Amino acid sequence: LRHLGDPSSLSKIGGRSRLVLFDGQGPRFTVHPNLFEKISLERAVTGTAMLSVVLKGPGDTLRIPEMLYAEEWEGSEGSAPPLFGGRFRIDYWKADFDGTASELIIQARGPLGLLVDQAQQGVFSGELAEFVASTCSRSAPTEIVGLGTHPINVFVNMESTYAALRLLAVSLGFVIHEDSDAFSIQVSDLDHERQRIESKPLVELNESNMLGGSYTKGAPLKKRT
Amino acid sequence: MHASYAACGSEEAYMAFDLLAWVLDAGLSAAVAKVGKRLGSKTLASDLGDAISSWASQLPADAQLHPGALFPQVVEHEELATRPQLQALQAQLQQQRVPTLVQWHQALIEQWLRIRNHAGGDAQAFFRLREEDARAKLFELARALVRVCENDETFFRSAVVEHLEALRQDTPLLPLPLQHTGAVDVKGLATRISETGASVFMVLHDQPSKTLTLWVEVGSPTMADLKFRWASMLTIASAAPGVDYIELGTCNAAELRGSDARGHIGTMRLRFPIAAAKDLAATRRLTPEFWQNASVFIIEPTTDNTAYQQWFRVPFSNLEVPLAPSR
Repeated sequence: LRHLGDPSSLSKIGGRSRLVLFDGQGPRFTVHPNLFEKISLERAVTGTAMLSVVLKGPGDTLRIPEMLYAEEWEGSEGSAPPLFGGRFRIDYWKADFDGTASELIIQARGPLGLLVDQAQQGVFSGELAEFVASTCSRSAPTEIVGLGTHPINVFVNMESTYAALRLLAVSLGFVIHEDSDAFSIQVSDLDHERQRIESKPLVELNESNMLGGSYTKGAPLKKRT
Repeated sequence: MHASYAACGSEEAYMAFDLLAWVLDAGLSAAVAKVGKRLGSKTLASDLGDAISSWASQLPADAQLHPGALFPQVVEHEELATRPQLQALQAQLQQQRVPTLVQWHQALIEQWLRIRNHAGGDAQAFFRLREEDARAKLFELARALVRVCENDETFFRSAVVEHLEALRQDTPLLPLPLQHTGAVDVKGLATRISETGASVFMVLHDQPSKTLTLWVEVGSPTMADLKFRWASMLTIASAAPGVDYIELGTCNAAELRGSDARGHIGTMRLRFPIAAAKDLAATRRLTPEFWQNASVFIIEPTTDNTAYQQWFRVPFSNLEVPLAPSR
């Protein structure tokens, strides 16, 4: 495991943070905050967390990993939200080296990103929870709460597995989303979702919590034409 | 005398009269043609009727005519083949064009000749005129009709479109149900429904709630097209075993894929009791009253930053946009 940057550097919000870059064999690089030129986390319109990172530092030949894993942000006094924690699959990267300096641009999505890109076709007969678990676990660990015994018989032909799950969700009354740290996928019935919202109010963020980029609460309403 | 002309001049014939329906319903079965009673084009129908009444009231005593006697019935399919002028008039309206003075005139002459030949001595005085005199009088009527149409061409066109679409709703071309052996054949349903022109994303049989949900993309047809497609899907799905309700969900694939997991995903679903679908399949006739069986739900967008969402019921009438502009 190689370190890039200064391990003693602090993040803007006062904690130590780092990005750990993985490849197929495991962690390869740890990147420390003093190399972060820009980092942002947004919630994409697909509902998946989207991480964008620009790194600048000494020249190096980075082997680009297939997975970017961002360790949980160590917030000051334990009160800051885990802004950049989570597991992200790299969709795009761009690297420039000139011998003395390097720049690496990474864009990655959370666990739902893979499901957005995968097609879902076929017939399934059995328990709803079994179908959801087998579908989601292709992308990330999945926690299922409250679906109980619920036999279904379904034909699906969709370009997006995520879209198929959303249709199932609105048909049968459950929700599917990434957990707040973008490590796993959570599926729960509406009662459990209501309880979760009530017991764990959403964290209000403001710009002082952020190193860069933007954060949006809610989504603009779409006008159907 | 031809039996269908026996009621020429009766009050009943006049009350049911609608010139627009007389042209557009020509060639359809009596069961399908409803002579405009279902339409919102009553104002246009009455304007045309008023023009005919006004013209008839000015006819001389030796040419008296009860206005309804000129159009005593909807022309049957077999008869339409022998009515080239009426066919031409019908074609003009089906292309949503205001008929010309000549087209009206020739169709009226054709109708006058038809009634005179069939009714013979029982015909009203107007049908016993010399042909050249009748032609002159009918030219005046044609001018009056053109004037009504051209006074508000937009409204006229809307009324025609509305009438044509209502006819399409009533056209008994609904498909036959798909028969199942044992469990609901979700793949077979998807195949059959896709033959109606819809893109089938999902066929879901939820066994606990005994609900069969079809998620489809139907493009952007007119409301009449949409209703016909919905009805077709319902009849195909109506024989599904172990089902109490059929739901028709419509969505857009691109919008669904790209939409926010925490908000509106642009879906809507209609819910029907299975009995209504079975009745529809049995009669294979779609009436405006059928839609009273539909419960319509839309996704309510959430303001919270969560994946939580819920359905809200809206009146079916919210889906319908009147074709005719207000006057």
